[in-house]
Amino acid sequence: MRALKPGWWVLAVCGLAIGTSACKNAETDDGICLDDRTFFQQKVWDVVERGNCTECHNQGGSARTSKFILEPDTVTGFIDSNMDRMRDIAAFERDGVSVLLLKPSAQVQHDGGMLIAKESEDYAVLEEMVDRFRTPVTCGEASTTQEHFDGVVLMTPEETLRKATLNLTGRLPTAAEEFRVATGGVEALDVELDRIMLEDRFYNRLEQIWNDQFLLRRYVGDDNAVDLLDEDFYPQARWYMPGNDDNPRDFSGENQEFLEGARMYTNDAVALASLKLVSHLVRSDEDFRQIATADYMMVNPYSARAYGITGLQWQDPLNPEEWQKGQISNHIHAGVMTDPMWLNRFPTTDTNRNRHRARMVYWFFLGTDVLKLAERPVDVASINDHNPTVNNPNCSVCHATIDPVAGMLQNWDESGNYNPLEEGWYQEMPEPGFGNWSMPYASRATGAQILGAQISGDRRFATAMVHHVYRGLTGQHPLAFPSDPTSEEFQNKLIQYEVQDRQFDKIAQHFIDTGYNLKAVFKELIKSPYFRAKDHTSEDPGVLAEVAELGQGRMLTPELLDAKVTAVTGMRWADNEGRPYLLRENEYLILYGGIDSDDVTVRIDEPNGIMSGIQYRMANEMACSTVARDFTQVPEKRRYFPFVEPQFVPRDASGFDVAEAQAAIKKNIQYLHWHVLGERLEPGDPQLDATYNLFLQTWEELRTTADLGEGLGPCRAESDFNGIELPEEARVTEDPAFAIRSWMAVTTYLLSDYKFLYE
Amino acid sequence: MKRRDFIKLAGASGLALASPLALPAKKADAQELYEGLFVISVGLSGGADPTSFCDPKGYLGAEPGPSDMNQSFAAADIGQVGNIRFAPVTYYQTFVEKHYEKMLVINGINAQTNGHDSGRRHTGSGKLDEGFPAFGALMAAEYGQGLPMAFITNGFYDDTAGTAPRTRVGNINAFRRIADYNRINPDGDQLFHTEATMARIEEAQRSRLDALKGVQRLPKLERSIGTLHLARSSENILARLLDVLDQDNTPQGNLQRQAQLAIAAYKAGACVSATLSIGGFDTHGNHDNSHLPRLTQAWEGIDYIVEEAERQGVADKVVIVVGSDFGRTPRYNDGNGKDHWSITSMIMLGAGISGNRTIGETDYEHRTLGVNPSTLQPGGDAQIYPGHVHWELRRLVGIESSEQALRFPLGVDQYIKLFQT
Repeated sequence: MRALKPGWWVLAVCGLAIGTSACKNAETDDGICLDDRTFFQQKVWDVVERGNCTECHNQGGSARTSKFILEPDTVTGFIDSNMDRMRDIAAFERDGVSVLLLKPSAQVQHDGGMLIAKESEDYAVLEEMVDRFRTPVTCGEASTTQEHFDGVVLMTPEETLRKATLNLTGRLPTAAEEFRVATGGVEALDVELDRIMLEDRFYNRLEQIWNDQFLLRRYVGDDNAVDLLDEDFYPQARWYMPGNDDNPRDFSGENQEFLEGARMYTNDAVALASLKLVSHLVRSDEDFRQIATADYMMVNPYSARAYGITGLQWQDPLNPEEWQKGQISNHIHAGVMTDPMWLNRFPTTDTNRNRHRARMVYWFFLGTDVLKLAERPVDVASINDHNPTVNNPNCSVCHATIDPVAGMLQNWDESGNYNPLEEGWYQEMPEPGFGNWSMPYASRATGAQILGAQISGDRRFATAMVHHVYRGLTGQHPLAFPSDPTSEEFQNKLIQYEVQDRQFDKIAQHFIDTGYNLKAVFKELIKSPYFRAKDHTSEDPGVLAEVAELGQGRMLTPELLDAKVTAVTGMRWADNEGRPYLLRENEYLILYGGIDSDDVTVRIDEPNGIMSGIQYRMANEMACSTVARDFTQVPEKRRYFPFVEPQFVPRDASGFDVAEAQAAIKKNIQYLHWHVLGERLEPGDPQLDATYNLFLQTWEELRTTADLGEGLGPCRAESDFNGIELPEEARVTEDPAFAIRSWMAVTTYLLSDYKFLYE
Repeated sequence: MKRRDFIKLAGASGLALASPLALPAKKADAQELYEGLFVISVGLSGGADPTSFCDPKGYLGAEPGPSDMNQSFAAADIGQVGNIRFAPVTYYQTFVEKHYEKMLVINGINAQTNGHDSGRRHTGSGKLDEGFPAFGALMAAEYGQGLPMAFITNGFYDDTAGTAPRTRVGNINAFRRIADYNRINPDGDQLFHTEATMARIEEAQRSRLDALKGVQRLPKLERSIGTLHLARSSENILARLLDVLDQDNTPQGNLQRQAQLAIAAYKAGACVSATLSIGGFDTHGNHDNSHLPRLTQAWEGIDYIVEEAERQGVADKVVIVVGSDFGRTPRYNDGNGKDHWSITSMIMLGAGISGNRTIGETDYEHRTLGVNPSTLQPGGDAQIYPGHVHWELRRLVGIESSEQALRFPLGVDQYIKLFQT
């Protein structure tokens, strides 16, 4: 473990701000400063874990009626909330000794018996924590975080811009954008990110990121969404249907085209309402807490009719891309939680009683996986209590958390309708509420709205949003608190967790300070080492092991790769009818690790042999379809080859070097390494030499192969990048110098490269 | 190349790392070609109606009436071959006539739910609760570590609960295009690059990955480069699979195509279990006209599985398990449809299954009559749940006491010997 070294700031803080007592405690034997939070995390929590305190002192445990309720380490923000609770308990004293010391050492009555001997080291740790609660210790601005990132090489602002632009919009930065950031540094990057997040492409990406959470694209297409709308509640759901009950799919007759379009627009708008709410909130810089509190839903002219929403003024009542806020009558809106599609996607049953939905509320809005509260094996044989979900600790460890929230959602039936229970909420279930708060009976009609306000006011909401954006941007999960103190990696993992937790907490606070503007989260994460780390200055394996969490190395998702191929090559990887291979379930979407939001909801982000084949296929097809085509354009408009022509070859017919051509080829290769791979290499770099050798060897092979012919076959260019046929003289159909085919080899090589396929 | 060499390369390709769950390799020597039992689960997605095929209930009078269980056939016309009864509609009749000696039919299984997701989960994992792996995943976790396509799935229920990676297959043409990625058209002769050039590109790629790995210090990036390097270091598993596959005879029918690929993958030594799926059984309206043709498609597909396993010479290793979310309500609703009903059936055949048997009975209204757990005669105290079938499946393939199986105890506490007499 790399520890903080004592710096001037330790002395300054201890001497000037805190006092002698704190100064003494702030340093360990190694001369390391541990602030209170770090001390709690590294020392106290270990005592709590080994003492099994959380086994009883949890929300559903046998000590659940005590004042000392701890959150397990699987709950987001558990360090801060548990520190607060411990601070409260530590303030209670008997004869000048804190209850926090008296109870576990059984100096006073403790139902759990003696867990920590008075003379033990663990006792001393708790004793120090009590002292720290009385006299807080901080370690100044320099911190574990700063030390942790020492030696980490970050991407330049220009490289960061390229990566962020591709990630957020699927396009490459313009030359002007690159110039501004290259000259203006990180401050300029901030401005460019603001601009990027105004683009429509960003909102497509944003919806993609949130769909990975909500999985609502499951209902896109056919009548998949509208079929879920209960006609008793939404009699206009199929407003576009002619009144033919026997053949409800009959679109014959007048306005057939309009009706078919209306059917599609209605269904997809119903399906995607919650994702459109996300887009709306971010696009208009509104308070993102409305994701859980909005007293409206997003509708377009088509879904408004399906939901029976009237009175909206549309600029173009036929435009499916026009979205407005709408309210369904007799429906209590609370952001996505009351969207009929969201409620269907996370359904309930008579016996489930909204627990599944409550679990998802915890996950989406509080960053907490409730099922992890009880990861230890449940002894089924021990469950013979009456109403075990309330009375048996095996069950109540989770149910005490989710059941009250389930009760807050009591008015929503299995079809997602606002349909309050005739006989009220189940008596044998815990009272509806959230945390320690119980909902007054009189408020039951608006339980979801109250829940939305409660959860969005919880500090964990902000952290959860940081986590979601982090997952979306990087494909990685926030670090979990390390669970095995005996592991050799424990200390490193602990530091990594602590640093990331602090960084994300800082971003969450910034999110709050900006009025819950989600764009702020994107920007801060993009500028952080978690997005930008690309190397390290040290070669010491011990030091490198300490930063094992940094650097992404994520294989691009099918959606991101599809966009990147289009941006870099100028064409989409698609079949003859323009259907993108990487986005179609029947082609490579699933094989390349994507999701269908239905059966397949977890992405695979590491390659296998099948994916490798897809990569090469893509690279070959794109090289074939774009290399000759690029040469049909004037040099200044070319994506690949601004510095060479098809007749530029390394040697003349006599085998003598053609220095000018060689220089142009090398210059173009240098350009391609930036254009395709995003790496700036200086002339003479071995990687440029390797690419040049590939070109050269391929060219030598082709020109000496008998019967190869001059024609480019299926790789000839007879149309431009938009598919428009070119005049005869502009076409590139032959390759007498063998250079085009050599460039195809280079292009395949680059498009199948790690730096193209990964980020 | 020898089979052992091949699979060593396949295992070294990093395919074992394909799971986002980063599972540890179970056994050091787990990179052998798999030659054990191959379990194919077929999910009739949406809730198939057993009373229309394996637990037949026909109309009772001379003509169908509104209170009859089925209107498409008379009770008097219900057929039987050996000990297997069948409704005289759909291809199921033909299937029974061909395969009754191999078939074990279990009727009156209590799925305990009318919800699609939970029903599929119960049938597919043996447990009603969330978080349980599909049987195929559990089996792949035990025998498929290091295999590139250990658990092939096309839906129904394929949650893995972190036990094993899953592979989706579908369009064989999509496979053919990536198996031979240097061929412009899978059926043609033209190449994108000469073979020598393609080999040069791949060699240059490997060198570059080596170089990148050598200069990269952050462990995560180094590992990420390493996984791509490994994935590209293996023999092309798809090429081998397609060698096995009879590409000139691509069958009609989605289920058939899924099965052809899955069996080829097993024969290539790369697959341990497969979950195949056919949907369209959720017929809340117009039941007979929609449901019965779908049953025919399903049983034609399952017939294909049996025949393809024989054609490929692996029939003695294949176990087929057919199940659905749940059953459908007695009688018809106002739209001539049938709604959800928690009693269902499962049908097994193949290696280790004692055939020509029917276990479990239901009354005319499709309520289970219970079974004697010792004699398997109807009318006993016990009910058969999907968990009982999964207990037998786990025993059959030898994973009953595996570490992963013990992590996921089934929701039944009584073993019932179902598969063997």
